[in-house]
Amino acid sequence: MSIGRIVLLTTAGFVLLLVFVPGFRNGVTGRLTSLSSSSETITVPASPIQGSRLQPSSDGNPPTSVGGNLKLITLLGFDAIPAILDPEFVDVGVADTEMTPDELVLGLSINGESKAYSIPMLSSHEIVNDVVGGVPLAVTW
Amino acid sequence: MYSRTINGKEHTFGVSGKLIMNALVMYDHQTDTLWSQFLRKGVRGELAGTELGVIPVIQTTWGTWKELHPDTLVLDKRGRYSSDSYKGYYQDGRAGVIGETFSDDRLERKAMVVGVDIAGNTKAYPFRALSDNPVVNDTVGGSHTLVYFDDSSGTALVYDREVDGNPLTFRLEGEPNGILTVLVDEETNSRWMAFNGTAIEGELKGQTLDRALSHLSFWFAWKDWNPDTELYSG
Repeated sequence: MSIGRIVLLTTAGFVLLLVFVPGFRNGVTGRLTSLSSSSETITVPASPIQGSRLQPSSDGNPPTSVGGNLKLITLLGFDAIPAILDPEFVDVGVADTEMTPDELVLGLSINGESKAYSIPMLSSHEIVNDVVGGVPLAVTW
Repeated sequence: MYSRTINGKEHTFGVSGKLIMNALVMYDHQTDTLWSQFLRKGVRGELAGTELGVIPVIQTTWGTWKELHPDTLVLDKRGRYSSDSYKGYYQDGRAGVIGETFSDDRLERKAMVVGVDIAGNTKAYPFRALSDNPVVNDTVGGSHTLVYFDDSSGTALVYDREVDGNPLTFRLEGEPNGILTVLVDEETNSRWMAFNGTAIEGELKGQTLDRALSHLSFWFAWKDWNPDTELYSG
């Protein structure tokens, strides 16, 4: 799901190219691969595979098998999409005036505290820096 | 979701504007390290190679979430964001900015799946197959897993179905009933709430199943990141 942000990034990147790169403007073909010209290859060490038990805990250290050379593509500058650093919250009564029952959310429940994050809103910010049930965490989309 | 505590220190994250295989790359304001969302670790900078702690999250509808947690707080939308800026993208056939790396015709690329990752062993469960079989007792990477899917809200939950070292086999009790859906295990006939994995009646009353590492994704993205993934076919 997290790749859903691509449309926004693509659109913004496209606009930047149109505005700032005359050659691109003249030769626009709409091929998205044109954007990957600003890419670099980075080498990521593969992580050791952890034990075979499932790892759901908040302090979990989940295993990953992907490593090696990966292409890092730059579409936008840092913070062109603004992460949320000081989230503000409302209760169910207020939220009901802004959301329909079928709106998608991400929900977290930690140490007795529950919080929900609207996915349409996450699409515009990508990251919310928050603390839930005393645990500092990042909600990402 | 990810813990912001790294090496004992709290960090904050911003959006780098960069992508790896069509997925978010974050950076932290404290060290400027780049972090890959799908890899769950630092990829460039001071903390490269460091893994992020993962915190289980539920993707569901607002209606279902508030039923589950009537006391929930909600990120304030302040009247904005009435529609999702990626709406068209979810529905069309495109595969991200750079396209997909591996073509794989086992499933159409924009099919929604819940991907399970057990110590690097991965398996994807298409929503379409789960709507026919909402309770799947399976084994991934040698671990016993339970996948529960609520078709009405598009909620997929993956649990470790071992309790005290013994695998349990689950089935639906009656028909699915949203957050009130009950599962029964064949071994002890205990009754469990499907949405939180807690036994409410029987020998195992009070036990809660652990959540397994899982991720909702488009099929093309899941298999790009996990080219060796198994695929559940019902």
